[in-house]
Amino acid sequence: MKDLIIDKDDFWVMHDKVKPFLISDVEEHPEHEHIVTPSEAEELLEADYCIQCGACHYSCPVTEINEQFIGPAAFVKAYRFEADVRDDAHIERLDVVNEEIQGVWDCVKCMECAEVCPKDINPIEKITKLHNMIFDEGIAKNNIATRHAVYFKDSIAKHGQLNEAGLVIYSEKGYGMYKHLKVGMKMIAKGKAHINPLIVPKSEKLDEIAKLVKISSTSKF
Amino acid sequence: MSKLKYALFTGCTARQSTPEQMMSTMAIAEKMDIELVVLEEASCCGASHLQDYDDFLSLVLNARNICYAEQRGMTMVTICNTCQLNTMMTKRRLDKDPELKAKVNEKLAEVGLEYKGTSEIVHFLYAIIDDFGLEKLSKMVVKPLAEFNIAPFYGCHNIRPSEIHEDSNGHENAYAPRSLDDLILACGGKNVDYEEKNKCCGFHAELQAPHTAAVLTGNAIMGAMDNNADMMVTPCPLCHLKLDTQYEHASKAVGRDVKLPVLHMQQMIGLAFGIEGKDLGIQHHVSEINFL
Repeated sequence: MKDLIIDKDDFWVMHDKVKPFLISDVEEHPEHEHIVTPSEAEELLEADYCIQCGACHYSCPVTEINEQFIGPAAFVKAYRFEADVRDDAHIERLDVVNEEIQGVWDCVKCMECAEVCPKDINPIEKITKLHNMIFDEGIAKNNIATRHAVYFKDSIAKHGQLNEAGLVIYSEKGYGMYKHLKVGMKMIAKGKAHINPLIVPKSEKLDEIAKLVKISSTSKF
Repeated sequence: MSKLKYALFTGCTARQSTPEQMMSTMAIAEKMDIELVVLEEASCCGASHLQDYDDFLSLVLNARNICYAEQRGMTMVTICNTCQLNTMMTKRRLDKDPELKAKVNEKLAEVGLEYKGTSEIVHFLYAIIDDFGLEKLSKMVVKPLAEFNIAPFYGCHNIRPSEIHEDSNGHENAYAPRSLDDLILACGGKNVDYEEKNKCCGFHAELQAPHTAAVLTGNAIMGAMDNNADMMVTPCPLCHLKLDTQYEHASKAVGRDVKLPVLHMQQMIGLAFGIEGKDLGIQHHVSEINFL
């Protein structure tokens, strides 16, 4: 059966990268146990059930193309400790998954990891949680990926719809636009984009949408 | 059979960068005597990105969109895979978590709305297959696409995670999907089997991870080309945008010229029904439609 065992060295390299252990400032002579309540344990969202089989890591199309990408299994592991109330690392570990190219921002959202997991752990759910934690902890950098996520809220509040051209311009911060000029011109010529990116179709009952965005927002950037 | 009637959630793309998708959706609905009531009040679904920034806001906005289908007492039909996934994911989470539903409804109450969970949400592809029927569709075909090898490109968000979709996508097998293949056959075309048909096009990381996204697009078109496809067809406007407009970046990334005409599934059906290409918006394609 030996020929059916795959070489998972790259998997373990990524696993180790996210500091896959509890980082806790425990007193030398603690006077009581650090009790984790059942509801606090539920916060792990069963991330601790992962058996490190590697199925998600090797079905992820990004790990195949981008050798630096940490991958869904290690992201689940990072979340498992980030969500643990006893863990004190927080930003130290989040910084690792917040890096461009290796971190969560390069996920293509293909849902392969959620589909393949034999333990129904749903890695993409944890990847989303890590994104949320990065914003909550205030360590989101002002880069193309964060601007891309944040722009949706601004555009929805303003138009109801996503301003598609506006998303590219805002995310690329203007000067990155040169990469998209050729395709953009073709799209304008074919009637796929308006020459004026300020012209955006608007949803009806826009005041209602704007009000909901205002009263339901839970994040800041 | 009584007339099929749906609340149409167009999504943003059909109103902006894929006008041809909106045109062809309306054109075939008319031919098939399906009534589509456009949800003009609907907002963007957040496209799988808003929830990374603000998960709760994403839930509230998607729940609001569903409210307007519920108010009309209709099933919501989507024409974008990502709209389908985001809306369905919201429905699943709210329906199984009364506490979360109450929190969302607290916000919706401020604008006089309430999410109840009474409307189903289904992608137009599966509404056509499950409610209209492929047999009935194939009887309407006047211009069979018999001379074409057509490569189906399913798009991730209609088939994965299957746990979310199974009740609304005919229990499609995410590893061996059939629906789009069956639709091609019903339109009289020949379906092309290839490895990338259920894979990712890279759309959602196009700006953040351009190389990864371009390789995925390149691989998809290459897979179709190497299996003698004359064209590709997809139910997702985001996949369409990627495959139709990004072939130059994709060619560079995979080191080979890759390019194929790409149809929206609505356009394929329309062509088989004998509808004029211009009424299906083929003039809006970047990778030119060269076979009509």
